Amino acid sequence: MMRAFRNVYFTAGFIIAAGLLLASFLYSYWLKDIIPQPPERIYNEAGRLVDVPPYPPSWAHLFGVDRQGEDVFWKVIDGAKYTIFTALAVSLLRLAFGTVGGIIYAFYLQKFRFIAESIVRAFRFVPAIFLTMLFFAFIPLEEQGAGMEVLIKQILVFAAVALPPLMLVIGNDIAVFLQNEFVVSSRLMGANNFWLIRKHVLPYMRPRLFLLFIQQTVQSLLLLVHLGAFQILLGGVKIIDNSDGLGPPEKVAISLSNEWSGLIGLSYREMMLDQWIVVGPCVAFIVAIFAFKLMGKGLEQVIDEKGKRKQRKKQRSSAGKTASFPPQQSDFEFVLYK
Amino acid sequence: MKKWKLALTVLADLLLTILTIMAIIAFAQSYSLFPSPQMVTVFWQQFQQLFWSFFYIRDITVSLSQWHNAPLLSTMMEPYAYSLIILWGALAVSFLIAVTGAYICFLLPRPLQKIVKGIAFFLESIPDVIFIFSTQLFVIWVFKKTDLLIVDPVAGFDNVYVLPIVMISILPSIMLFQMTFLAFTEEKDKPYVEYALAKGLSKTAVLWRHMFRNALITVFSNMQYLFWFMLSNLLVTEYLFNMHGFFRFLYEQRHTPEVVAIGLAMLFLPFYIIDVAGKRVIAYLTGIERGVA
Repeated sequence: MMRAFRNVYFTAGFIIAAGLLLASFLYSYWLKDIIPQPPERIYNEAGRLVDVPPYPPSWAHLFGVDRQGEDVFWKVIDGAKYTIFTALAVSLLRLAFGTVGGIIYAFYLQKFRFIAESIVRAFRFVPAIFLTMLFFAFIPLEEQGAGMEVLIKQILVFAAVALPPLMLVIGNDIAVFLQNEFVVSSRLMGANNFWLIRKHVLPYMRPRLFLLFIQQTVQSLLLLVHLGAFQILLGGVKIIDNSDGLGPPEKVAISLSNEWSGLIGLSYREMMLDQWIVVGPCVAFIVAIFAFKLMGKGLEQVIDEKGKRKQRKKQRSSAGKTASFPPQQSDFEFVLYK
Repeated sequence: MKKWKLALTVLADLLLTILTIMAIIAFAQSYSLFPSPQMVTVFWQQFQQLFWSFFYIRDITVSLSQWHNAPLLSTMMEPYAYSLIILWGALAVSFLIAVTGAYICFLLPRPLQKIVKGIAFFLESIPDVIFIFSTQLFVIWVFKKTDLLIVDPVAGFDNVYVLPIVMISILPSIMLFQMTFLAFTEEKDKPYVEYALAKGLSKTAVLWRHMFRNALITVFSNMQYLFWFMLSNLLVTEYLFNMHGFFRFLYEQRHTPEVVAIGLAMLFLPFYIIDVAGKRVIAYLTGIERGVA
């Protein structure tokens, strides 16, 4: 595991992701009180009113200021922890159930391969966002409620929609691995399935599972972006009355946290007016996804190298044998040419 | 005899998948956080209802507005055809872009190759929603600067084909480009390429006649994933651009489970055809049968 940090890509990705999280926590516990709120009105030297929020991006407010007079940059930073932790939680759940399901599939359900594949195909061809939407379509936005219960329900659904394909991937990988000679001979010597799982399957799967974990995190982040566009909000919404007391009551839904998909989804109509309000969270999503992709790429390289190093070691140990004269049978070995 | 068996497998495959789709929808309707016996009964009722709705497909109507109902089949056909044309078009375009791109990139000197690969890697981490967002922003920006409206970004393009095809195919073609390029690089180090080059064949000839064929196997085995990615792109594009496509239709009808089930089943057909056809092509190219269908 520590070897992964020697890889440039992995470390770079990790630093970006960790930096985002750190900044997010720093902000909500400490920086929040220090950083001044953007001015409610901007006057020029003559004391005349020039501008009211939303302000376009400037050096003082990197992503601009939104309609409620809040700095979009700090909103995005504040939301980072919710978004990233949700993505991590979803992919952790997927992986935990996926591994268990994959092992069961590889060991006991190989006979039903045909059925499993056609079931998984149904999950595979419908976009994950559409499946998710089906779960929430039957409840209108206002009645979804809010808070922890909704959040847990949503996370379970996000995990469930990608679970069957993941199970099949892990299961097929294990099933191929189980055909290795050392596994077969171990079984012949009387090892039961539990022993095989503990001593062979899990050590083999560990780096791969870690890679899958990161890839699934990327997938969950993508799902969150889609959710934003289709206006399904993490943790539900709160409806507030945004009217000024004169006009008709104007109901506006706000997300409970500054979580990114909510920031995108709720201000989507700002696109035609003040684009920077939407652009900020979009940039954040790209950065986060890029960071996790870098980590995945680095990890792939590490796993590849590990395999190569083992091969080299084997070659070296066989080269270390001194040839005897006259040559004996032990100096030769059968090589399978592929 | 063999043909019969193949047809039977394909049929069983289709049936199972469609049943699963129904089960998912029924489950989505009955889902609640805490499992209860009520959930099971609701699920079973829904499942039965969806199952029988396939037999009465002619009698199902959809409500287009509050007072206007129309039979499902005739309403569905137009957006379905539209979406499928866009989908197949995008598939062809992205295939073309990706393969030519990989081919050109492969002939570039090494440092340039690295740069192109880096750019492709970064572009791939842009989510499709944000890509489509930025297209909209770009259209508006062009309009503000030059008064030239390429396409109305909100009111949608009524049965316009070229722009949506281009938009949907860009991100998938980047993905496909990376896969093809990787397949080329893996193929390059194989002994048969060295042998062909040593015999004096030109690099282009080896690339087209031999390596391309073998790399195509990788491309075709990833076709499923590509098609899936494209569907998701299409869904977002139709939603954000107000196109009158099939996904938009399904999205509007998402409160009637029967329509959603039938729609998804219909969408599954071309997907399955691609799957089977891809495997056939691989079998033809390599001369190896890998499993049935």
